[in-house]
Amino acid sequence: MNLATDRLQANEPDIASRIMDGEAILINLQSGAYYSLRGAGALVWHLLRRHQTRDAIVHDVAGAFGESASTVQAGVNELLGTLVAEGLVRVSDRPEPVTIDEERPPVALPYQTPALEKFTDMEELLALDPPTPGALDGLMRQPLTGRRD
Amino acid sequence: MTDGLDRVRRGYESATARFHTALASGAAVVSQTCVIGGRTVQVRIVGPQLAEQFLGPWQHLRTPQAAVPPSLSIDVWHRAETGIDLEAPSTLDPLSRFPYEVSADDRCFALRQPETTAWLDRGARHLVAMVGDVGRRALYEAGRPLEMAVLVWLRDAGIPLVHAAFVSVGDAGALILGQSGSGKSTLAGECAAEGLAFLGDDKVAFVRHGVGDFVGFSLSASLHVDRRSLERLPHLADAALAPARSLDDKYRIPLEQVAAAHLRPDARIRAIVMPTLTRQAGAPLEPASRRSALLALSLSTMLSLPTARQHSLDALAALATAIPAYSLRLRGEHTAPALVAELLATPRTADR
Repeated sequence: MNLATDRLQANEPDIASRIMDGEAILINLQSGAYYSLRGAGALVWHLLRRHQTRDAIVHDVAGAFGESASTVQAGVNELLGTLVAEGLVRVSDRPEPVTIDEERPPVALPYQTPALEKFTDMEELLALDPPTPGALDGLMRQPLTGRRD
Repeated sequence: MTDGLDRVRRGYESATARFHTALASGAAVVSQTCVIGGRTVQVRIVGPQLAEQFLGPWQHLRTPQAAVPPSLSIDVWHRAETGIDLEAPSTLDPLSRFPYEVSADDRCFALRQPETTAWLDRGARHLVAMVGDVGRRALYEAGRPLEMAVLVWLRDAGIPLVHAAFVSVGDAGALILGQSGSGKSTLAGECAAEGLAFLGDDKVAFVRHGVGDFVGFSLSASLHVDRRSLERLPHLADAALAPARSLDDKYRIPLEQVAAAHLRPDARIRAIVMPTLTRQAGAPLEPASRRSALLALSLSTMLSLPTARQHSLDALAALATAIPAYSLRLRGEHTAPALVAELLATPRTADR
């Protein structure tokens, strides 16, 4: 993975996420760990779900918060590195950004360096009782087409 | 690998052929239309003894036969009443946590329980199953018929699930959240004993009918609780069936037999209730934030249902946004059902 050039995306389907009231909540369905991103971090996550590149994310975040790209770059880079290390992000399989059914999170000034909060209480609870059966992953990854009625 | 997975497809085809043999065996056939998750399901059962017991947890879901084709057809035969046998897949261990298998093309899904083997053709929306001896079924197997196959079908039909108990006062329902073992089934049982309607103690299907208008659907009339919880359900404890198999860790209370008048097939979701055990002072029932509701809904559901994915979280977020949530402080006294009833009797909005 080359964070400088690759288009990135949320590591779905193992990671499910939703932004509510300006906070992105991420759930690792394999481990039970869950995460929170607020402020600029929630915007970064929204852009990752849209399969943006790092440079596009930096540019977007800077514009949204009225800061220069150089001001936000280090913080975004560090956050992306953390997200990759946690297995929450991977290289995109799409050539272009995508649209998603999720509103862009509101911007609350001033800009603060984004940080990932991790919660492991569920992870510990589920350590002896793994939540997701790998045997069903193929089936669950893609519903049969034309089946919704 | 492919040969191994294609056996699921062959298993479905064999089971379908054996079901037709059972149909021609002379054993009585019982047909019943049900509404499961808001969709019409046509059930045919070969073997009247099986039909009586198998359909019990779904009796409140019965509906007159629909004029339109069903969304799912379920065919089940009873080996003990027909003599028609079918070898269960040796690759599936009914004692394992995941006794499921999927065909190479993802179209067919197989599950094996102690006395039930079932195959779902997701494309044909046809579920066929054999029950060996209905009287020997495990309690979870009897209380939640063909559960995982039904959950896969619901998922294919785009009907989300929430891991929660569900009770109502009339058409106004409350989802009771909590991890497995947290006591939500017990609270649902207490509510039923206090006159509230019971719709479920573990999983609820739901659909959105309009802005802020969600309807939850019962999936079973069966209540499953541990031994300690029976002490809190004195009016129902006499009917409890004790675990006899190693797979069963809870008692089953067949509400279809002892509380049929308190069963409902569906209700509008008016409140999300999050019980907490605490000795701290404070109001017994307090509004909770949408964030805490989403976290409680999603963590409990996403980590306990293997069919849950991003689409599930999107549906749960819509629910958490529209439906008011409350923290319910449980301090050991038995006032919780009255609090839930009072909550449902008062119209509220999700302005938080």
